[in-house]
Amino acid sequence: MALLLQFILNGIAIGAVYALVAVGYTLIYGVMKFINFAHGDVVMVGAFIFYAASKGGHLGFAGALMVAAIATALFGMLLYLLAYRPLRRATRLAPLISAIGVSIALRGAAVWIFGPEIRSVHVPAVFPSINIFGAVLPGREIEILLITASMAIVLVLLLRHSTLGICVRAVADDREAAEASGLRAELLIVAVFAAASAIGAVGGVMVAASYDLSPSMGTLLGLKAFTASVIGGIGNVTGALVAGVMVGVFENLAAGYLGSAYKDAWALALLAVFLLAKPTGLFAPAASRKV
Amino acid sequence: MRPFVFRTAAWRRALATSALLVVMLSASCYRQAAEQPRQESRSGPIRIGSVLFLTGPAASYGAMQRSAFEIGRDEINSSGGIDGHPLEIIYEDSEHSEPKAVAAVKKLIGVDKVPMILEVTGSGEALASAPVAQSSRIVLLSAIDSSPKLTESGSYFFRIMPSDLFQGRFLSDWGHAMNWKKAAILFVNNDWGVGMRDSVTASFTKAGGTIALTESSADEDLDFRTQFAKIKAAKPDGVFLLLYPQAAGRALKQAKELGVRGPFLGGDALSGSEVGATAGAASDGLMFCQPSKGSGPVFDAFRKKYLDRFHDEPSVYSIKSYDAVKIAGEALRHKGPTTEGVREYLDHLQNYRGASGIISLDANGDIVTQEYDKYVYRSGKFERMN
Repeated sequence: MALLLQFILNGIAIGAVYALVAVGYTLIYGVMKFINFAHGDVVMVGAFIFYAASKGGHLGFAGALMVAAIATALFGMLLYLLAYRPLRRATRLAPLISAIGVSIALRGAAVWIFGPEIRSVHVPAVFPSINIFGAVLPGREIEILLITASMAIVLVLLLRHSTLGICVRAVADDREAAEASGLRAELLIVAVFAAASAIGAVGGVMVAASYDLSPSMGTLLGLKAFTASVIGGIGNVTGALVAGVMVGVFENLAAGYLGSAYKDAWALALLAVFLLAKPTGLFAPAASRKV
Repeated sequence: MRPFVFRTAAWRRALATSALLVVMLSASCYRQAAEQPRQESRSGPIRIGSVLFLTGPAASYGAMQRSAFEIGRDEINSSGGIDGHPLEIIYEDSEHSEPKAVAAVKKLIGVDKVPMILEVTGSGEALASAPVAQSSRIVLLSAIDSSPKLTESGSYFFRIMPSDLFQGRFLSDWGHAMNWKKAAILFVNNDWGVGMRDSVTASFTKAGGTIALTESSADEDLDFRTQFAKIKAAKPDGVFLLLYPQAAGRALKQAKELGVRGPFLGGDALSGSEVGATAGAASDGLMFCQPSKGSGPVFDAFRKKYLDRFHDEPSVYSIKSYDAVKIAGEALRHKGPTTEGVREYLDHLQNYRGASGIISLDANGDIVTQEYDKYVYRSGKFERMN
């Protein structure tokens, strides 16, 4: 029983990270109808900015986290303007290929600047570990859960109730109609890129702080988060958040009871199953509920 | 009639693409021409190749081995080189990747035309490279690879690191000596890890113990919490931690978070500096064994040179690497720098007095005996026990 609970807790903690990254895929898909396959590597960039800021800047955890989120937001905006915006009138395939190119370039740049080895950041957790019926929830994971939960609530409230959120949803629903009624869709897309990158960076920082970081960390993390965004119904933010946690729990249960050597394979098998059987995801959105 | 001009964008793009292709093709031809072998000429240096972990998740090995190779190479060259030619080592980086190691070995054999390869680090890398060396009839002398499977890696493969069969037995005896009746194993799912798992399991159960749980992980896994949750539930007397240094560091950090106490007992890989760097204080109490460093005048002389030049105590990997490059030097001198001469020398290598002790190879190219020392981590650094 304690074991089952432990697997689920481990799954929720890593799933919270997947959820943060998955939100990025889904937000960008919402406004652009395009999968940003470089998103995992943007998350890696966020983690490395955090690493550099906490090693070089002596900023402490919260300071380095803020620096990482803001710098990655700017980076995401720049990426959109350089790599995707010029292709907005090209075929649908062109930005996808551009994204793959960006992904390879970012990984290469990280190896070039920081070297290929894995690095670790030693940040003591703020909370002590707690014991729940024999299962342990480490302090670091409590932090991850709190940060993810508060970001998720803010994001969903913003999208539902703020003017900005309503504008973003309008563009996601029907870009032409939104533009016809005077919305500047381009600006909103830039804002969405910034938000997606900043949220992803927080996910990257969580991975860096609780495990470690390397230039290739974005690949698998990105794939698993993408799995979550597909399961959540791509374009559906709440769906992506819930599905992120589900993927984390699923892979931990599968690794726990079926075999830990193939932990990554279980999550990716789930992606294949969903793409084949239910490509619209579990929470198929009504058109108006998108984003 | 209008003159033909590249007027449309499509034409211009096609032209630009073909121009780029021509440039790339000529560049690659130039590179190949520039890399043509110079080995055949008898005036230049004798070049051998070495495929190390210069970067990547176990880069500390590459640094240690390279330092030792340089000391050995300089000694060989200051005592007349190979028949008057200086010895030169071409270093290639495998980044701890099997495909990259094989590509590097092919490059060394095909492009640099080396008569022998001194070390392909990593059991998986060596297992993948040995067939290439065998089919090209080029000797591969390994300094620190230990997978039991390498025993059957062909007649051109030799090594001076003991097979993990020795190490597995030693670890298992150590576990029994600490009164472990029931143990768990966490191993890395690659050639080295599987070799160690099999050898520890066989010895431990043969001596009356039980392995309650065997858990695996991938080489670059971040998360070991699932495995440790199961290990904690199995309540073993101790855990055999058969991981590489970086992963071990990460694993120990998470084990501590989950309240898995160990004790942990691991193989020689755990002397890598990454363990302490990643785990910090969570590595305290971790025990591991390593082939003995050796003693005597050869060892003392090497240790002094290493300390003077690199300001660091030589590890067993440096010591084995030093012995390997010195043996390579003798082998190349044996009948001139030909691969068959090298092979003949290594086939009959008996009672070679190296820094790591007396080295004799058996018919499989394996070292015959080996002693081990025990180490334990305190405050992020390891020290010798007993």
